[in-house]
Amino acid sequence: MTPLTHPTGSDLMQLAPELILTGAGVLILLVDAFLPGLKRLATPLALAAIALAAVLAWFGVPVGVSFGGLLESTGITAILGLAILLAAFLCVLASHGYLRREEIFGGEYHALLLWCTVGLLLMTRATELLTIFLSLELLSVCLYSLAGYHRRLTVATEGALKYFLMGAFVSAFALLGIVFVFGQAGTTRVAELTAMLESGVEIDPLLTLGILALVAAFGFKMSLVPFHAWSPDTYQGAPTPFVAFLSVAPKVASAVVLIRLLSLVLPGPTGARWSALVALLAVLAMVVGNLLALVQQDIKRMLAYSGIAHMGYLLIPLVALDESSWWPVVVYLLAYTLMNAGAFVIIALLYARAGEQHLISELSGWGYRFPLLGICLTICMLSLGGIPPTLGFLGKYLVFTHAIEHDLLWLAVVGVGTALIGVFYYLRVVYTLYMKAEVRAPEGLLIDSWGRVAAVIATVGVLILGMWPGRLLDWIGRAIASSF
Amino acid sequence: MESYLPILVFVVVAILFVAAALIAARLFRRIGSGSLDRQPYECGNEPESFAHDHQFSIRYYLIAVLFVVFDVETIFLFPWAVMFDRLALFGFIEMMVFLAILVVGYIYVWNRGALNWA
Repeated sequence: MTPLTHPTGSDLMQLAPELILTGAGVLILLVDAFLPGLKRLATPLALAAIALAAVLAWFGVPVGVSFGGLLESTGITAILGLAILLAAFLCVLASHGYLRREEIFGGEYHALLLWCTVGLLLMTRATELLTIFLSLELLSVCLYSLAGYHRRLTVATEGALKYFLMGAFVSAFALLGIVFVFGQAGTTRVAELTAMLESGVEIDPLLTLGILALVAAFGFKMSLVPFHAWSPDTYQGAPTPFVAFLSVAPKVASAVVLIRLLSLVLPGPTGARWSALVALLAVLAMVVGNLLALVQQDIKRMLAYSGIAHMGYLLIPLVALDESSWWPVVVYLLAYTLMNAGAFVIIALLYARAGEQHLISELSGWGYRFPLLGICLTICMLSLGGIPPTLGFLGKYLVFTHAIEHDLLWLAVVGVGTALIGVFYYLRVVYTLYMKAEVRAPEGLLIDSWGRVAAVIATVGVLILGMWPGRLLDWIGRAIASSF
Repeated sequence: MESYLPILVFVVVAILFVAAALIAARLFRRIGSGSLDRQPYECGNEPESFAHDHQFSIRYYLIAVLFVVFDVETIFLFPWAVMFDRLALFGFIEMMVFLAILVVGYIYVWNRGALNWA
């Protein structure tokens, strides 16, 4: 065991983005409590904090190990940290109008969101199981309370309670997994575990069981198939702009942890069985997610199931996990962040009655009434469906080529096949937007410029990065190369 | 398959533990010994009336939660106080940061009126 030492200046510099976000959360809470007249300032304050944290995360955080090996920053964690901050930024932008419209504007929302982001950033960088668990709890508690933030709505309370009960159960699983791993290996540090497993000791079944429990826990946060039941109900009840964050950021951070866990066991003697397990999870998520999304009438539920399917595509590069897997994974996560958050941001603007069904048919003909938002939603849907020239296409392309290069043609075929189902239900939204007569008068909507800006940022990102991906791919390639 | 024996043992022990606890409770508990052991346990005194007959202020729960928060704070303060000399300045600063965060929470709930009983 490495003894813990006092944090040094460079350790604190590593934590700079998290410290900024935490401090901003506290500040917003105090402003809300003491100067209620200024509480609208929560939005610009939160945005400034996120922007500052992003700048620090990219330029200020030194690459390397800190806090005696509890945290490790690499190029990959920097990029994914930016993706998480981007999701938080879009969420705060879109929340302003929503919270005003529902008359639930309060600093607690922004504070909880910033603290949740802190947990996510820590989780991507944590290289020790208990640190991972601590950040998991930090972000989970914030997510549970935010999911039920619209507390006058029964459906919000229901969704949040389901999420909380299952999440608490899953936390117990994660802890049990850590206990098993520690009991067998005598360490909770990922680096020491890797060294131990590489030295060729026989993997004890209890260690396998421990890692399996951890995989299940993070599979829950990513809403992979046997653990996905919470997501449609929670998405339906939670404030829609917050779902833009919930459906994206925790999945990004959990994917990193999942890769860390799988990197432990996949090169080992039982690697083939773990590969089969990941392939099974991927196929289940793709098939179940896409088929259930097909029959949804409610656009939020549809996107919940489609999000499950997207996590299935994301797992494909992990079946043959090596350094080359990071490339499709990072691109896919970035694409998913932009397009899914964008879609939810636009939905938040276009539906006025929170807590009721968000029927796809209610969007009939609105492509003409709201030209800007209509175009944005169309582009997000095309990107989610994986149609060129969007970033979603690029992500799918890289995922499937990675599978083919690693002799997993069958998995790529399943992926493409299920993606075709996806194209149908995504295009149905576009069809409803432009080819049907209006059925609903636009009453009670509050489409402010904050929300429009969020929609445009996401859409332009999806489109520009999809059309001219050279720069982006260079950037990601350099970051990945510097991480090993 | 033999190496999976510990897991089987673990599962069996887990089931047996629950079963044994329930059976033991059934064997050793006194049955029908009077009305007192059917009362909800609060503090050892006999309840004066049924809990259902009263409405509790929601503030009761808020204050209970606050109590837990500051209770936990004390758990951290005691070991720090005992080891104050060895933790030195670093420990002092770290503890002050911890306390500052809690004080912010305290100010917040105070300002929100969670402590006003009326």
